[in-house]
Amino acid sequence: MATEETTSDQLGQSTALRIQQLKGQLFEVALVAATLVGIVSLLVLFAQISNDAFRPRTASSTWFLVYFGTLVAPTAAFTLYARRRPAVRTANALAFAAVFGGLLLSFVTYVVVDALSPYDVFIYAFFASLPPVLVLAYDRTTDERTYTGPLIPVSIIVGVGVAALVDGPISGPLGVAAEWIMYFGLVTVPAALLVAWLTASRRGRRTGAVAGGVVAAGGLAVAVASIAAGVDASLPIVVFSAFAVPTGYVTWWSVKTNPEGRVGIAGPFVILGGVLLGASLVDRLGIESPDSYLTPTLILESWDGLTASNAGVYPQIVGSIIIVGFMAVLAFPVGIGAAIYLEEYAPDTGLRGRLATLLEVNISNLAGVPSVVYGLLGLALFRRTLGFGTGIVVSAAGTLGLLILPIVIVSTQEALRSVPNDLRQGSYGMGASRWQTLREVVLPEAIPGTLTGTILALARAIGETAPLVIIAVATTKYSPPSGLFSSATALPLQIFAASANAKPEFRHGVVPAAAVVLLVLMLLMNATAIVIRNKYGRTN
Amino acid sequence: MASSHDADGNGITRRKSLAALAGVGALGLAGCTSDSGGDGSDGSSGDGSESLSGDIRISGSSTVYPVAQEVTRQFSEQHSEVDFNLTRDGSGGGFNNVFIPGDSDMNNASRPITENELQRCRDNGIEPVEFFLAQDALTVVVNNEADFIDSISLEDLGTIWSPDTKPETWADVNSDWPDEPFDLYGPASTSGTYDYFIEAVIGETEADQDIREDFEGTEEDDLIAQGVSGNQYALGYLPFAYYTNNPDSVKALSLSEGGSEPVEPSLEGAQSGNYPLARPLFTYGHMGKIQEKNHLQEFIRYYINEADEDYIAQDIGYVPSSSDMVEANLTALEEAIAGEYEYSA
Repeated sequence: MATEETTSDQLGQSTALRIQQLKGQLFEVALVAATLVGIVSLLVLFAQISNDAFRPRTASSTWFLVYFGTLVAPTAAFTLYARRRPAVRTANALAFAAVFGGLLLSFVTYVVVDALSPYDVFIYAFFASLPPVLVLAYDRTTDERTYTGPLIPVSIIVGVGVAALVDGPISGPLGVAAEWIMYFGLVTVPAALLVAWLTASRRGRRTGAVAGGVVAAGGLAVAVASIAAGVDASLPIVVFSAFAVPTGYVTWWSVKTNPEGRVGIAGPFVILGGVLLGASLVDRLGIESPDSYLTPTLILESWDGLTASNAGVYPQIVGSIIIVGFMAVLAFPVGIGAAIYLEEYAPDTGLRGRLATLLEVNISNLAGVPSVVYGLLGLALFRRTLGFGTGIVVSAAGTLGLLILPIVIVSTQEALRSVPNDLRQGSYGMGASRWQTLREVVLPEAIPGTLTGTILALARAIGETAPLVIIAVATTKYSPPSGLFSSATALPLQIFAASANAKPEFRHGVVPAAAVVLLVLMLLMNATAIVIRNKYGRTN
Repeated sequence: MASSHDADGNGITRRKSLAALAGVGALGLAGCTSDSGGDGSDGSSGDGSESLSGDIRISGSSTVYPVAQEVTRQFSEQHSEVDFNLTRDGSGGGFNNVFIPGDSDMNNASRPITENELQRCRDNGIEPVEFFLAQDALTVVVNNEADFIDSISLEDLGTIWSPDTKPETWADVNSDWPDEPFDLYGPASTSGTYDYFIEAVIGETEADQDIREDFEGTEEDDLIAQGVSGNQYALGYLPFAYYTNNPDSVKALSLSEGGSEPVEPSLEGAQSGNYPLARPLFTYGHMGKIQEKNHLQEFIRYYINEADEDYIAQDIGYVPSSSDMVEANLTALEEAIAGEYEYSA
């Protein structure tokens, strides 16, 4: 009735209002559509890839029932239970990080050290860590602080140099010792020291020494037991030190400090137990599992271009990990150093200021340069100018390092910029020098942002194909790279080559399965970035 | 950092124990699925022949890559200390970027080495040693629904693809064929297959281009097959190895040349020389490195002997070399080891 009484003027106004509202709603709908386009198409792509890789439709329904019963239902029940209780959730998160981080750490450590030869890695690790430890000990005993700080990085570099010199002569005699002794030195000793240090800082020096001793003795016991059982002791030692020790420590710590939430520790074990129980049931009862392409063979064997069920990408996975790991060693100090200079030291005015601005603009542009161009740069720099061999680990890592350098610089700059200026001023006001302010105030604040950005850069590098093709990194190799100057291979290259295979089961089976492996590697890196960010975010 | 400490016997138990760890760690990725024979396939390291060690770099053609891949896999199972390094750069790419600078020991090629490449090899002090490996037959394919055609002559193919004639419809070439426009698919101009097809089918042209340009060029054989299977009046050409592994997607045409009886594409036909579109595949060894590296000599000997085997035809889809060719290759290898080989076209 009201509309009859309104004048045409009022009607016009309310129409205009309604059109305004409609415009707003349409705009919102358009935004939602824009968001969905990307996400939905990605989801469809992932679903297709996983379907091709796992082929869930080839499994019998009993298979799904078994895993629903052993894995999905218990995990869901546990998650529901934990959701309401913050203490349980905290313990659960900690246990998850320890268990899966430990598994990942043992896996990566073992395959990389095994590929590079445990003796060489041990020699380098020993000589690189001994000098800084000696310097630190001197620092603690004499209170001499003027020279020890700068001496630590210098001593590491000197140590690596010494290791490079003595590696040849020493590794021969050292070869008499069993491999597991090297792993003991590489993994168990640091784990024992870490546990000792952590316990000592919380429970006093004596308890710390006892805890470290228990870890070392445990490592020896594992070695003796494996040898008695006739198994190579190397992997058991790595798993014990990098998986069992952190899990045990976290469990013990949670039980001590968080008695309410200690049920949460069971979280990761519900999943692991579910997987193992399901696998053994499926095996025992002869249930038809999916005829998946993502098998242990794919992950642990080397390539076979004729039989899809025999094809494996173990050398390529390890090659990718070694390339990206060494790339991180090369690119992070340089990138973070450059970012700190540009953000904290470079003047804003004058000739040097303009130079710094020019640099910053160029670095931002470099972040967008196509990766093929970096491949050409790597080819010209490492092969033609420096005369390195074709497609070796150092060239590959260097090329990818140049590729991610701008990303590392830009993300670190962002992280430094987000540290409030008040903190710096406060620190200066208390009489701290610029270096002290940087080390004690700015850098700790900037760590989460820096790490997130840099690890995302790693995830980008692990999937790069074009630059590696240009510097002639091998597509197919039957063993992982055995050193930094041995020829490299990387997973994306083998995926690319297999996508041209004449047999359809390669193009539609092995390729998606290998792509899932690559995606999992990338997701693991991203997960690490998130865990680190959250951890530092909380403590600060 | 050489891995000289790596005892071979440990590898298997280590891998097995690693499998256990991966089974747990991969969390339902690897853990939930069936293991189709992960173990056992790599346990066959030969005894007594472990003395061979060193690295072998093989670059070059992606057409020859499947052969090289299979032969190196077999060889590395017998000689685990030989470290292979395969790249796929294309015949020319392999010569120019890897072989001529002296970075690879062997370069695979789906065509003979060119005059220019030979000259640059020699300028760098490299004598390329040619070994004939196998033949690759090209297959001309049409849609499965194309009932009007079962065979085609090379001359008609030339008319269809030539930039000079450029017929619009099938009926323009042969009045028995339907009056429907062509839909053409073929490898992109960067491919060695394309070079061979032009030379064998079109030859010299009056226009300043090699081939008509209104066709879909792609690097992926898969896309050619998809394109042809999507249109009843499409025509394309593919490596025989692709066709033989995916026979249902498209229909292959028999080929005739100069009024002869049409010949179905088959490896036998290509081997006997009756099938007109078969091209040779080669590998070129670096003579200096052959003389220097004992394991490279052994590998090349193995490679050229294997090129005669049946699996080259059955599993890869190429025409194996003949016992005569194997003999000729072995002679070339012996000459190269003695340092007396000289390449002549």
